[in-house]
Amino acid sequence: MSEIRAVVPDRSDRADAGLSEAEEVGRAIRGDRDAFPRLAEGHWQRLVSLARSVVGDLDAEDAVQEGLLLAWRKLSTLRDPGAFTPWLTRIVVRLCLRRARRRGPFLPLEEAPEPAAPPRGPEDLDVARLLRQLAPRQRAVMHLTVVEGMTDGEIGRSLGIAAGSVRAHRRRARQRLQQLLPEASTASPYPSTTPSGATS
Amino acid sequence: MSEDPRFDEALRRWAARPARTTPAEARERLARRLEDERPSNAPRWGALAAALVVAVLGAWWLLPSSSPPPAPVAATAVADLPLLDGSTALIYLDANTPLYISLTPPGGKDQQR
Repeated sequence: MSEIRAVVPDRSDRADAGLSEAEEVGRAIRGDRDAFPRLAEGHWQRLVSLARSVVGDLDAEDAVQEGLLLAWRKLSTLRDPGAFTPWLTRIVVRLCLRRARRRGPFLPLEEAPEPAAPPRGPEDLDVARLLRQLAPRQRAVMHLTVVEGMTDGEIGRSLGIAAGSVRAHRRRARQRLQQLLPEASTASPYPSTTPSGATS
Repeated sequence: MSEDPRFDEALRRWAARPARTTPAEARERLARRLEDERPSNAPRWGALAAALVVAVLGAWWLLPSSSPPPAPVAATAVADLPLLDGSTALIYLDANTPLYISLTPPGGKDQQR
């Protein structure tokens, strides 16, 4: 089975990419109205992927659009153009967390997915359903850890929490997933127990 | 807590799905939205105008008037003096000090008392 790599570009060329992005950010700050949409284009897929993990497929793209507009309005507050990527990530993920908290930890019954067949491999796991059993912040931590490969410090800065809190969220998420993954093989659409730490 | 390779692999695969809106479409949509937005670093002309009006009104209210100071009690303009008769006016330098002023042309018979 081929392994799926992380969504983000190879971090080894981040220095070159960051330099040109910083110049673009500088132009956007100085009022170039075309520069910010160009920047957004380069981050769109990554941000939508992150938003899906936190708010789900239906709301993800709308949430990212709203986050990009918010970032545009706050662009003058960005002191270091070289820090645009984590700054933008922070704005979008926090907006997604607010949306997810308003929605609540579980889907309404009418939105619950159809039962899935017993999973045989990674491609058969209902990832969306598993993520919905986690608290919003746990979803964000798992995505930034597994998909984007961020360090605990980087994740903490994106979420506005300490690195120790990041590890605690990830530990609780792993514990919850361990409880759920055997249930995924029985294709039950609704959880039989309340998730631990689901209120964060 | 040990990682679960099944979930991690599934999450990466699930996250790699392309967005419904392409990046180019998202850029165009955002550009259209930004046309309605004020530039983030542009001066807020409305706020500046309001601040200017407030400053002008405040200066007008707080600064001293440019009109001449009121005349001292004793220095009443001659034209406003009440005349005792046709040529004599009375003013009070203070409550106890009346001053009679004779308003005759030079060489007239009346004198100031």
